[in-house]
Amino acid sequence: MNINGKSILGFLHRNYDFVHRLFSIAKQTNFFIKEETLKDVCREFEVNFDTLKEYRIVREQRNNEYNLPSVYVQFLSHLFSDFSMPLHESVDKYRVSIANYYTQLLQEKEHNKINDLINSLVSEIEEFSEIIENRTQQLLKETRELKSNLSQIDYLEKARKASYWIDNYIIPLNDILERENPHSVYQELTRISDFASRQQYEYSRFEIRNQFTTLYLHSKSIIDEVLKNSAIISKELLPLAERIKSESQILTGAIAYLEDIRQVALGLKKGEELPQITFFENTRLNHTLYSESFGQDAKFLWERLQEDEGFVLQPTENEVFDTWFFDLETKNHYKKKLIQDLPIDNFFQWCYVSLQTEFQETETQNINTEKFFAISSLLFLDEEFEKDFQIKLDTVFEPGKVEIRLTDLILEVPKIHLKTLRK
Amino acid sequence: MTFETPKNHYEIVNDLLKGKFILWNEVYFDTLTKEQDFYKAFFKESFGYELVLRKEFAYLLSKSTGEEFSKRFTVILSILCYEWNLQGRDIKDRIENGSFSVFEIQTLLENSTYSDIFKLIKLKEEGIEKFLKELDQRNIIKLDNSKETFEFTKAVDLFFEFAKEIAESKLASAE
Repeated sequence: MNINGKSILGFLHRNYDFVHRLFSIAKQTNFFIKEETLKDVCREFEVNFDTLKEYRIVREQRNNEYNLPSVYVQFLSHLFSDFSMPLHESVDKYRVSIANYYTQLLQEKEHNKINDLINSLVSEIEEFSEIIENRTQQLLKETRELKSNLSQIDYLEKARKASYWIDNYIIPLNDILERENPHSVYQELTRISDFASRQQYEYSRFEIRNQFTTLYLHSKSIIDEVLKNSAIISKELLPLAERIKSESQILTGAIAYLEDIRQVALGLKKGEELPQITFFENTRLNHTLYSESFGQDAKFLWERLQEDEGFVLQPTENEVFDTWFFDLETKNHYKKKLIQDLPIDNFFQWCYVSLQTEFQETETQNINTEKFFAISSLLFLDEEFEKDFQIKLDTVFEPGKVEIRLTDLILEVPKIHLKTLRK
Repeated sequence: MTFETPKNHYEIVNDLLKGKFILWNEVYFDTLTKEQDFYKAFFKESFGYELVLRKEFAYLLSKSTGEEFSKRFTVILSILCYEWNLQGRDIKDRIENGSFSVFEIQTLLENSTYSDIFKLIKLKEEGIEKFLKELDQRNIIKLDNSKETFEFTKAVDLFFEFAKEIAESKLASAE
């Protein structure tokens, strides 16, 4: 078999679809492919397996495996605009090598070495430019595919993929192109371009001056490339990937939540295990001020209202009638007593004891709320005291409470000190 | 001794205690921002609640949450996200910038693949309108004058963050 460039290109041309399929399958496994798989593809496209080996399109490895040599990987990647994405370090190494060549160039005095260094720098910059161009386009293509989700991957996987690309490819790529980053290739190329710009006029030898002109023009054009790609990354690629990540996360969370609710409804999960947005509870009721007795009072009234028949209170046999009126006479009696007893250390206690003294001779001895409150009302008769006795009373509330046990109620009242206030 | 409070103190306290979000474009928001040290301490010391003050809204956080309210809100938004995504819409963008008809939302929820879950939150009797009204009172959505259409406020960010947290935990547990 006559193997030369023309026959190889002829084979690739005749079997274009086969080569495309072979490339796609091999790419998934880092361009290593099992012999069996390889033979299957050959059979499908009716391609002679041995010809592949003879043209060295595939190279035999151990364990019945074949690989695509790197020269074919690069050529076919370019042909199909489908580039593999090795880790970011494979891009970053160009940043390092470009910086190293430049440092050497600054220090070198020997003309031939300067010539070689310029050539190496130009080809390194060229390779770098190709890589970032390919990588940006590849990332954009894959991100768009991820957005349209033709391969029907679930949202969780989609979020994971977008997140991985952002952290491992897009942001690092953006960083080495970024204009503001002092260690970026952009900054390095700017320094190289400035240096070459001066040297193209200043260098002593004509042929080297020409070389510097080439380096200057080339670095200038690559700076434009870098800026173009940097803009694509920051304005299109990164926002798109971020949006895919965010949307996929929201959908993953939303669907997971709905499925959790279903699990709770089916009794497969406990309600307490459901995650919740910590919304603040409307606390209007919790902060309404109320008396503890309101509830009991309302209940009492409600029960009375529910009773169908009215009720009449009737005295039982032998009941002693307790008729006590806080009439003017009684009132004056207590007013005088109050003045006589001044100063009074504990007003409510005084009311109780006074009533007790009055009733100790009687049958009832019933000191109830009605009587007690009647006497207590004396406290609010400032004007009457002033008129009747030419006196003004001063009330002092003291800390501490006093318990008064009436026949129908136990009262907790403040301790009030009563004394005469001189005019 | 006189008790001095910042301007609109009553309204601020009352709104927040009702579970309302105070949005950045409301008059009280400025007072809250300027007096944030006072209000953070005030709510903590008076009620034991944490005041969360963000760039675009403020709200109170407490351990006790209205479980039903939170559940209903999350279920409804989750179903809507699912349905809008099926229609090929960019959900976050749609929620943040769209206007929605109450009727459209009701139809989407009732005809969704997840309509069984929608039924579980028992909005049937009172209707979605009442729930939307509560969301409006709490400043999570803004109903228009006709009460037929509404827009979400920035408070909806809490839902996005919540969904992302669930996704993160799923991702972590899958790994």
